[in-house]
Amino acid sequence: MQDLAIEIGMTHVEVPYLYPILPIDASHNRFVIDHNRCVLCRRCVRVCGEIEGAHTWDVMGRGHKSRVITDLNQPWGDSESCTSCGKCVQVCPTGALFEKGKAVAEMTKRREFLPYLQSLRED
Amino acid sequence: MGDKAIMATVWLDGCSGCHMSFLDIDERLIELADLMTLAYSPLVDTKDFPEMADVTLVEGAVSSEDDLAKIRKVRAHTKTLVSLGDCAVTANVPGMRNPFLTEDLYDRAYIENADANQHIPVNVIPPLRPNSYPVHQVVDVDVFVPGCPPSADTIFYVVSELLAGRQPDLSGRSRFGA
Repeated sequence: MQDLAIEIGMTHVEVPYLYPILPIDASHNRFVIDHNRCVLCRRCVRVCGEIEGAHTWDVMGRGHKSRVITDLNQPWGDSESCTSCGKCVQVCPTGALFEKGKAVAEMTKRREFLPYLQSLRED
Repeated sequence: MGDKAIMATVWLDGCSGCHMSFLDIDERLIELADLMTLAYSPLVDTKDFPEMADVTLVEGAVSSEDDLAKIRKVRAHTKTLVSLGDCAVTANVPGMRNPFLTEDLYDRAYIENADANQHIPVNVIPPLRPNSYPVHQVVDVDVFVPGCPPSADTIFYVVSELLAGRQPDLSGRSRFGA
C-alpha cells in the first residue's frame, strides 16, 4: 500500500494529522481489532459479506469519524453473526485485525519437552 | 571551491539513522565531494549555517523550540529544502507522543520513571512543542524523501539529481517505512 502511495505521487500528507486515540476491541476470544491501525479499506466488510456470507462487519459514521463495526456497533465478542472464520484477519492489509496469542509476550511456551530432549542426550 | 554547490544537512528530532544512511553512500561520497561542499552538518565541524545553501537535507521531526528556531533559520538560508526520512516527512516515531499532553510526557520521563534526582529540567534541554510536527507543517519543503531510513542509493540519487539541477523522481525508489 505504501508502494502504491509513492506510485501515484503521494510523497507526503498535506493536511495536519489529528492523532486521535481510538479504541481497541479485544472482546472476541480469538481476534482483536485496533482501530488506530485501520485505514478503512473495507476489505473485512467485503470478505465477511461476500465470501463468508455473515456480514458481521460494516462501516459507521462519516468522514474522519468513520469506523468499521461488528453487528450493530456491539463488541466483537458479543456478535451473534460472527462465525470466527478469520477471513477478515487474513485480508486486513495494516494489521488492524489480528489474531490473539501471536505477539511474543502473549505466546504460551511449551517447555515440557526440553527435559526430555536433555535426557535423550544424556543416554 | 568557487563553483561547487553548497550543501548542508540538519539533524532535528530523529535517530540519526538517515545521516547514517547518507554515510552509507560510501565511496560515492567522493564523487559527490567533487560537486558540492558540505558546509554545515552534524558530520562536519562548522558551527554556523552558510549564508545560502543550495541543498539542505533535514532529518527528523520538529519537536522542540530549538528545532523550530533551527528549521526556520535553515529555510531562510536554503534554496532547496529536502525532508529526508519518515520523521521529517510524517513526524513518525517522534509523533507517537502527540496523542498525549506534554506535561504527562515530562512527568513520565523525569518523575515517574526517574530513579534519582526527580525533576523536570528547565535549562540546557530545549522545551518541547505541544506536538512533534512534520517539517512541511512548519516551513515550506521542496522535496520529500520517505523511508526509515531512505536507502543510501535513494539518497545518492536524490542528491545527484538536485546537484545536477534536476527534480528527482522518487516513484519506486523509496516509501514510508522502507
